[in-house]
Amino acid sequence: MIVLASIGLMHYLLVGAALFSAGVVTVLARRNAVAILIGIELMLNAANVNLVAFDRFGPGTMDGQIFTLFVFVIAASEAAVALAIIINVFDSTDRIDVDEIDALKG
Amino acid sequence: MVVLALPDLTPHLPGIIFGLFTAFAVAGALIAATAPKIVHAAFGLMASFFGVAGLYFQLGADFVALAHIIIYVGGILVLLVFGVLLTGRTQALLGIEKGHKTTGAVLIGGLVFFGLMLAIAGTEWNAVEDPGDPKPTTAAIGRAFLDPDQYLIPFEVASVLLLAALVGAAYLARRRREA
Amino acid sequence: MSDATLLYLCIAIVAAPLVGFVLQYAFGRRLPRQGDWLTVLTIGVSLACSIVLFLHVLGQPEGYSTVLGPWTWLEPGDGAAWTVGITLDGLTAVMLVVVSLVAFLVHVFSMGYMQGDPKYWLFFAWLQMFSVSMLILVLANNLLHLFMGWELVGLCSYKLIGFWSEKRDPANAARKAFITTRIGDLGMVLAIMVIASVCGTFDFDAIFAKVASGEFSGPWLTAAGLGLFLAAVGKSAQMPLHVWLPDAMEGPTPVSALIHAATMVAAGVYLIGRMMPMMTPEALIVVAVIGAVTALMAGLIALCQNDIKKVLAYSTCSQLGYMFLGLGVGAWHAGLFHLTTHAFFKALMFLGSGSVIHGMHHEQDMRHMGGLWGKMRITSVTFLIGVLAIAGLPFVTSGFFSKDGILSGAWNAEPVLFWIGLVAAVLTAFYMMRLFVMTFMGAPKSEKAEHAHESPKSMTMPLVLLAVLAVCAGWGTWHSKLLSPPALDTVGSLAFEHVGTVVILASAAGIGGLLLGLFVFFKNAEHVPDWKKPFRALETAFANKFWFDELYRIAVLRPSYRLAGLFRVVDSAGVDGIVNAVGSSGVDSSKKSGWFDKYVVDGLVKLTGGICQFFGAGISLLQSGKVRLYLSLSVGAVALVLLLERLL
Repeated sequence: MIVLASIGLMHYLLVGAALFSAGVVTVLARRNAVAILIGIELMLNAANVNLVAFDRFGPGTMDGQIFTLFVFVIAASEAAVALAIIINVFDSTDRIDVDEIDALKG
Repeated sequence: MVVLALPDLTPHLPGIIFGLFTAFAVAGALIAATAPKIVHAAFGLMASFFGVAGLYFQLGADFVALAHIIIYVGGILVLLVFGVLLTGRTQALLGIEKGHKTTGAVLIGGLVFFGLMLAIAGTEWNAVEDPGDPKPTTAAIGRAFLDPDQYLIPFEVASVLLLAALVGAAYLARRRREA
Repeated sequence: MSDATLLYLCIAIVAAPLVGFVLQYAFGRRLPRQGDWLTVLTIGVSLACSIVLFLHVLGQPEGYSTVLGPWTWLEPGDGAAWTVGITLDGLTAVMLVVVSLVAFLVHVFSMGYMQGDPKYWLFFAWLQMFSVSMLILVLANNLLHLFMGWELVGLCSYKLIGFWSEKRDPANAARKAFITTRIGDLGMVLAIMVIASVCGTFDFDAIFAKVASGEFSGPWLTAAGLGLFLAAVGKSAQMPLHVWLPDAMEGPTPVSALIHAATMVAAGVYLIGRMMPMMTPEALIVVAVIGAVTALMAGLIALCQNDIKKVLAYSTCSQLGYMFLGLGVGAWHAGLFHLTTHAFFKALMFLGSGSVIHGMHHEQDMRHMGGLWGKMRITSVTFLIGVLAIAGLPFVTSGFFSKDGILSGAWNAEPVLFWIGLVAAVLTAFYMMRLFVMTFMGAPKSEKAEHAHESPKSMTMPLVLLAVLAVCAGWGTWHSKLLSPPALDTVGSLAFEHVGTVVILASAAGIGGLLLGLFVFFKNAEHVPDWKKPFRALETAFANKFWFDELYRIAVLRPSYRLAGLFRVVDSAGVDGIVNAVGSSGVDSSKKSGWFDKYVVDGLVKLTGGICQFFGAGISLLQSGKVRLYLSLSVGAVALVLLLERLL
């Protein structure tokens, strides 16, 4: 019988990988700017899961968790600024679809 | 008399709980990635956040788990939903892209996942096998943040960053006067 | 009973209405009869369990007190875990019965009163949640746990005052109540912080032990006590934070009966009663003076109100002031006993006024009432009993025993406070008689009053039961057993006694006030204006509630706006000016470096650009401006690198 008790670092890293890939798919497949932001949040989460898992299975300092908290701060700032930009763009161009916002065209 | 022998699940309990949280996290993430409606995607994201918070709990990071719920579910997700509502006038464009572009995205996502799996499997992690029972972390984190030898400066810088983001976001999102 | 049984009873007391709230909130609208039977049933379970607990505690020796638990709740690190537990002693038992009984009766009453309301089901859901919160507050054995219940009752009160939120006045009243009590709660938060930093614990017993051993003493102890009292002032509508309670009468009348008469406003008294061992004499003087002043002033204001519910509201302020007076002079037992009896007779009068308002088709102005004695017999009789109880008719009603206990305590401690209390007692009897005469006696003064009708059984039965309790709650010695003061060093004498002189004076005050009221308002109703002429100036003050609302508008709100305006000026003149100065100096310096840019840097850039343009011509096909394509390419490349690194 398989004993499920031995959940180790690997398992958490796999979850992180899965979350990260889901985030990548979201960012690439969606055209709505807010949805892309959702994908970015997923990827940040994946990184956080890894950080906390490393902290748990590592040498026993708090560093992993503290980095996670810093990532929270960055994520919050990023979401606020990104949404402000999205709303600003939406107000001036009435567009939310990133494919139609192509001012970067060379 | 037939006695239905229930297997003793106690040793499997951590695995079962882990599986449950993982299912939440990953299923939510998949909904967020594929749901046709953006609001559903936001709710998928919420499920994912809760699953991840559960994983943090299981990893013994109680403070991080609670902060995660408060910041992500209470803050960022609400912000995203506001974003959805404020930009919701163009209903037609909210769906997932049909056709080859989605295929490309899924392909690339699969490639990334496969690559990460290989990387994870092929690395020597030097992980501690049994890290022991988790200890409360709140006080230790608080100390680390306010200790000048550890994270005091990054902590203060982070608060400045938040302030800058706040001011910047407010500045960007303000309604311009008609020139 | 074993501890486990007690624990299950306590859990059932809170859990039953909690389950009721969840079910009612989620499915209430779709249940038959909109789920009112469900909520009555769950609060009934609570009541039954409370009574069982009460009888159990009554069977124990005097001074019985036990703590179920404590269990670890949160571990913030550093060893000291935060725990939760349940305090079970006489005070808890009495409060449990008072809360669940009044809540039960109000539920039953609401089945009649709220009939036909579009949000009928929601009303019951919030009533349930309020009961849960109040019971949590009462069962707590530590300050944090109590604070949770404290804030929850505040929230439920907000929801219920503003139940008819589509109207402007209830919504404003709800906001006013919430914000005003928040000011008081600031004191509670500060007190909790002081206590936590000095004692390192939130448990009542542990705090009291530190106080008794002298580890926690001096100005910090007084400050903590005053902080708690500030919270009580807000919650119990004492001067100067009483302004929210009369406005809260905009809520449905059953809510006024449950929250703003019997239970939530009494939570402040309960808090001070519970924390009595840590109240220093200095803090208690403040408690007593504020209580006495409120008792007097609220009584004066009540004299000139014409809205039946407003009179009752000010009377509640005044009676709560009495309780604080009792606690402040050290008559712990009498103060909490008055809380109990007041809960019964004030709930009775509020529900009675609800019955009148229902019978009069939502008329609340007493000047349009009158002559209801024959038309609403049960309501009238029970209301009269309530009036007699609050006036303290000697030797029969419960109000006499408790009020007399407080006055005796004041007599022993500080005669000035006693005389203030006595004047307030006369006033109480007087304005209550005025209310009764204007509402029930004489001739009907309006169309509605002539066609008033008695309310249905679901509304009159609670009145009858409460009337019985308003009389009988003072009989016997149960209260001296359950509300016997714990051994307190800081407070001094706490004996519950009836001083002979005080008994005579208090009886005279009660009866005198009643007779005076009857004489003035029944016999001489038409001469009242002449009789009042010398007091005209005072009357304006009473009718305008001593201008408290206006005072706050001028002293608090207007300066806030001014300050906000000032900040705006500072912003536009100071901050913007600096920013502009920095900006223009930047412009100057950039002009100077302009020529260097133009000839040296630009030349280099142009050269580089030319080279790039040559190579970039082919790659620019990729430069579509589509962000997703850029991303796909870069992520795909990263994935490929990952893969190739492993595979090769």
